[in-house]
Amino acid sequence: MEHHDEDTHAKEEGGFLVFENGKITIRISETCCKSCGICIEFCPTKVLEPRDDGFPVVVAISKCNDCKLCELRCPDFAITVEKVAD
Amino acid sequence: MPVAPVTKVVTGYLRPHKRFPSVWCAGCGVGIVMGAFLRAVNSLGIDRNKIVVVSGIGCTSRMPVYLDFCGLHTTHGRAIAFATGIKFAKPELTVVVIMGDGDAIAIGGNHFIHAARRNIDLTAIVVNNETYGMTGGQYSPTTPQGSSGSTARHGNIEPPFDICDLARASGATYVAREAVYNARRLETLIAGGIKKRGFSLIEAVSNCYTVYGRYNDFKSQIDMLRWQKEHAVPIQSWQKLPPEEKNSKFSTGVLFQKDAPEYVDEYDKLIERLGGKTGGAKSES
Repeated sequence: MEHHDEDTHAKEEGGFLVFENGKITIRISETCCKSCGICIEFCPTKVLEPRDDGFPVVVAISKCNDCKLCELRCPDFAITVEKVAD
Repeated sequence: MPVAPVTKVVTGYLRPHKRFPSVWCAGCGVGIVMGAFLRAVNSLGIDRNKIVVVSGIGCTSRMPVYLDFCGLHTTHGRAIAFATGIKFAKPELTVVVIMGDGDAIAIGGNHFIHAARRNIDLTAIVVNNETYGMTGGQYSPTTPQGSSGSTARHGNIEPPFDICDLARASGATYVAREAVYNARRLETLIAGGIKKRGFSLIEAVSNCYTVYGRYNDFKSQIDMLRWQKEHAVPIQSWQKLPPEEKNSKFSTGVLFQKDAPEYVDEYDKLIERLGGKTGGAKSES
């Protein structure tokens, strides 16, 4: 995605798309996610955007404030947000 | 202390051999209720071998299949009847009944009101999507008047049940409602219901885009959650609304709570009064 923060690194790891910037790690399960879009729509800081197929990808990880609303509302337990200990 | 990642808590309670993704449609609120329920169980620190989850038939009733607890997937509408038996035989267990609106209020309506009347220590979570989702969107006793369904193409002419009012009138000692949109609050309310001794009812206002949404001009599952966000009003604020707004919105939070004698306790007292050995089932276990 062209909107990626410069400090966002995306990689694939054990069925997850992993986005991290050293402060926050966001993991999205490629098997469990049904691309319903709830996490994207209701993220208060607009961290996520849909890919062409609707799958959520992180476009602005620096805006993530670890509120975990995406994680709480995900009906498929497909997204996790973890604050990296400093 | 680092906060435990929410999803790690949830996935720890799922049966590892079950195939995911779940059977539910994309964006279905049942998954959100499942997450809230598991976080509630975790927050109360209940041993997973001391909890029984009972369900009937319907989309919601698929839930125990995924949960690594003792579970019973029973016949349509009879979940509360089975749960009553479990509680009576093993009163030390935490018994949670998970049903849809059709399962709980239509097919199992009689079991529901009488379990509430007896005040047996069960926690009933009713996932209300206002339709029969699994069978194709027929209108249910909670479908709002004027809404459409596959058996009400020109609008439903029947007034709906208010599940919370029904539970309260029948004798439930804990009555709460929350929209799946407010997942964190739903979790707190479920935990409150499990903790409360007696019949607890938690209505989770859910969303069925696949059938209900399409018959009723919602553009997507997101649109339905947005509707919840706009219409769910905490009970304290809801009470202050003018009457016409009260009807168009719905109240959330703990709507009613009281203390009353619990059924199994009363039964034990009866046995004691007649000189028998109390808690027969308890002492055998």
